[in-house]
Amino acid sequence: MFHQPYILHIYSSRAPYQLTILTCNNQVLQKITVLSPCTKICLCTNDRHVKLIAQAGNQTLFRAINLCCNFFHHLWVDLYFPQSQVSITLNDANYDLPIANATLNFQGVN
Amino acid sequence: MANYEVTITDGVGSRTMNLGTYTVSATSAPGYDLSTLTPTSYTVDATSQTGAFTLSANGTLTINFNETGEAGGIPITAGSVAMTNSTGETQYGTVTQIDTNGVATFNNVPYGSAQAPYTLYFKQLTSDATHNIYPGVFMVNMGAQTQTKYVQNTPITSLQNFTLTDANYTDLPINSATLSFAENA
Repeated sequence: MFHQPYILHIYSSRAPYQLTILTCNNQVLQKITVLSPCTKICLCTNDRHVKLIAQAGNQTLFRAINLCCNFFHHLWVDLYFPQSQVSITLNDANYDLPIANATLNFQGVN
Repeated sequence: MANYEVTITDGVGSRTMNLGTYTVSATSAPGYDLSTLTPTSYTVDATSQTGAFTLSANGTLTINFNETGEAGGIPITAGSVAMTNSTGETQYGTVTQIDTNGVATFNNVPYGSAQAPYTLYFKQLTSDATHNIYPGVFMVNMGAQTQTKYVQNTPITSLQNFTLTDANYTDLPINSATLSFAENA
């Protein structure tokens, strides 16, 4: 067996997230929790292609990586989790009067 | 986990957020009870969306409608009034009735302090049969949790023309006289 070590440089738009690296035959090579938006993964495999599954909250991203494309065995991967534009209204509960000034805090739970 | 602060101005704000579920709290809202924010959970999905939130206040405003617009004036006996925007074109909440003592009470209104009052606007919609409504919009600066406002409703008047003639010589006008009209109790 000849293993080619590869370095995956991964940037994610949100962290933490769950990262799973699989072979084309869905054999799990690595499964980790990534805490930082920028991370490096050392990958030793004889497979030419691997699959990445990144999960954060209720979002899942899929990536197909061709390991043979990079001569230097370094690959850069961007994971952009879609965001959504949210409009907020804040009114008086008793008079439906728009509240002049306020600040709301949204704390993620997953 | 993602954490966002959304600034609200005149009832609206917006922000780009990661998808997911959030716990929401009000960290600032002068005039309002922050603990009354509803709802306190919000889920952002893949489509652009609008989240509607509310807050409650616990101030009380008593408006007295009378002939002088000051304490002690003769009160009106009926009517209606509504909270509005500064131009009076938009009404907020339900119309409030003025009782037989000329009083209209607004509960759960926002309030500030004497140094930084919360400004509210009102428009009188109707008065009783013998008084004129207050013209236009009137402003109330709520600088305390409980506050009283006096608003003037002038009596309705009507120009009357009188003739005084001799009872025995028809149509002979009486040169000079003074008549007194005293309102019945």
